[in-house]
Amino acid sequence: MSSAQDVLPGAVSLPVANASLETQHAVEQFLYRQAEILDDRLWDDWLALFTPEGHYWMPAAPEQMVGEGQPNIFYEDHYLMRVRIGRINHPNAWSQYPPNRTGHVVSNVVVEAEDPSSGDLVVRSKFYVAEYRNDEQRFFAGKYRHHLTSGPDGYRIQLQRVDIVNVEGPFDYVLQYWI
Amino acid sequence: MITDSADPARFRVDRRIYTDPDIFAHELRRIFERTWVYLCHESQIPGHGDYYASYIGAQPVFAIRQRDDRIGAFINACSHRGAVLTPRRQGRARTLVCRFHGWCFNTDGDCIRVKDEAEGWPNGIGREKYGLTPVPRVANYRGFVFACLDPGVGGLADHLGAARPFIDLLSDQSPDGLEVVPGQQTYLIRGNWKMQAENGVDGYHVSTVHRIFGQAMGRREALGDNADKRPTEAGRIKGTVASGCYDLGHGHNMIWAGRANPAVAPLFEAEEALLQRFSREKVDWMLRRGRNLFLFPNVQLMDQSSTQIRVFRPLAPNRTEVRVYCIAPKGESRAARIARLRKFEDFFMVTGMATPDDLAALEDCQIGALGRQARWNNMERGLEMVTVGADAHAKALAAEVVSSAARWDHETLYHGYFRQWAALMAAEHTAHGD
Repeated sequence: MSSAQDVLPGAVSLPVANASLETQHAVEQFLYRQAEILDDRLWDDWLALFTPEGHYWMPAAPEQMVGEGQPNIFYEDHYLMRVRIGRINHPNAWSQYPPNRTGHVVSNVVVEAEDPSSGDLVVRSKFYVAEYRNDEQRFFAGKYRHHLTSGPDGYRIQLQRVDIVNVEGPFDYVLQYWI
Repeated sequence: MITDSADPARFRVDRRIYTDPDIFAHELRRIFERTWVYLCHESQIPGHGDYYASYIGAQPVFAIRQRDDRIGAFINACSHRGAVLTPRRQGRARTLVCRFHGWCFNTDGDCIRVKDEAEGWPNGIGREKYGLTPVPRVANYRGFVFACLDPGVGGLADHLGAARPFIDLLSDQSPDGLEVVPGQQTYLIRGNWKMQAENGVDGYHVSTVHRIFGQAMGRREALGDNADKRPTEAGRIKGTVASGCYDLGHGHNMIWAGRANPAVAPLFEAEEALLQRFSREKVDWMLRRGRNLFLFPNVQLMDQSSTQIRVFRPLAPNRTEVRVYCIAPKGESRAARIARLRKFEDFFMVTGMATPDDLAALEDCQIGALGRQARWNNMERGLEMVTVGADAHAKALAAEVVSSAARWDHETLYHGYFRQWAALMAAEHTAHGD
């Protein structure tokens, strides 16, 4: 497969690969596990989901094709994700005392493309998230697209593109970490 | 509501100004409808028909590039039944077509078409009488577009006054001017607009609220070679660099702090070119001092790790909308632009790593302000150490500031802001359009 950015533009077409039941099952389990890791704030496990050059990308506009040229909501590699985790875990983080809580549901999992030689996948899915903070609950919905590499330890994220439904905002309060 | 005295030296503010609905209603009329309010940057509406929709206080308006290349602004309501005319926040329409009954307006606000004009109106409609209502004053300072609903307001340049040389520090960064980078983000805060205005130039909170951000920035230095993400501003959070603040008059104010590591700032590549055009002192201001500039009443221009326009709009006593834009010198290198965007994302975007704690702080202050029996905010830090007029740094820019402080964590910069607030609130509203 070509570079991660090339395979995850804002898709207008909705391709479907002829993936095996085994692949479908494995990738669903992977996505469920990622959601669980985020809800349980298992940050080391979170980082381990990504390849060394992997990125978590939330564009600021649905038509955005690349991470450059305009500000993104998130465009983070391991390095920036570690900085963010350091912030969240800091005992003096006013906005994390008390901490927020999230509950993720991931569904509608479709394998878009499968590289027959490497086993790499492009997968799209839908998410719904409830977040609770300071007596208030808010909700986010949208689409994930994962470019996953396949290796001996299972899948790793080369690029995760997140298209949130309310991308233009306004956001009530801000986003402290990944959706 | 403000205690402002020289002897004894006092400056305190009644917390009711953040919570009282009557005060809020007066602010919309007496401040937002009577002084210059920031609308947009000229680069957002470069061509004929490009529009940008916003608000002046509670009134919807839009700015539009007119046929003769001038920028006009109108109340964003059809002259027939009042529907908003702009389908998006920003777009292009050389003819604005009302989606309700199809009336059409050109970029000068003239009504150029009334559907089925020939019949139905007693004595004809006379569409020349149905132009859009203009915002009476629109003016541009170095690319930043302001408007005022009061035709009698003084000139924009006089209003900006001593803030002008500090705006120039942004506008002069490229001979081709500045551009707003595509994309914007908006967030809502559970706090009064003045809390946002004050937080953006509050040097005193940084070493407590943002200590964690400082540590996160410090981690970056230890995390190896990430050239586009290395920090310039960690020193200001630790408090190890020179700093200061200014009361700029007319409600404007500013804090600044030295950059411990100016060579990794996106603009640093332009140092030689800037020295060809400007004095060493001015270039040092651009490259070696991060700055938060507040222009009363609704915009902050930030030039720190990245560069930001932060516009706010009062929605309710305890509710404010904040829109953020990245602004950048035209023609900067690809590497500089990438660095600017990465730093914009991690500090200034809706995902910025300092913003969650800023908002937590001001939201808690908004709740605390409801405690009527504890009435006063003390704003006296630095009161007896302040320099009247310009210090040496301001003099280097010929900035005729009202007062200077040699630390950014003093509170004297707020005094002129509250005096401007109080002066506008005390004057009777001279009704226009009523």
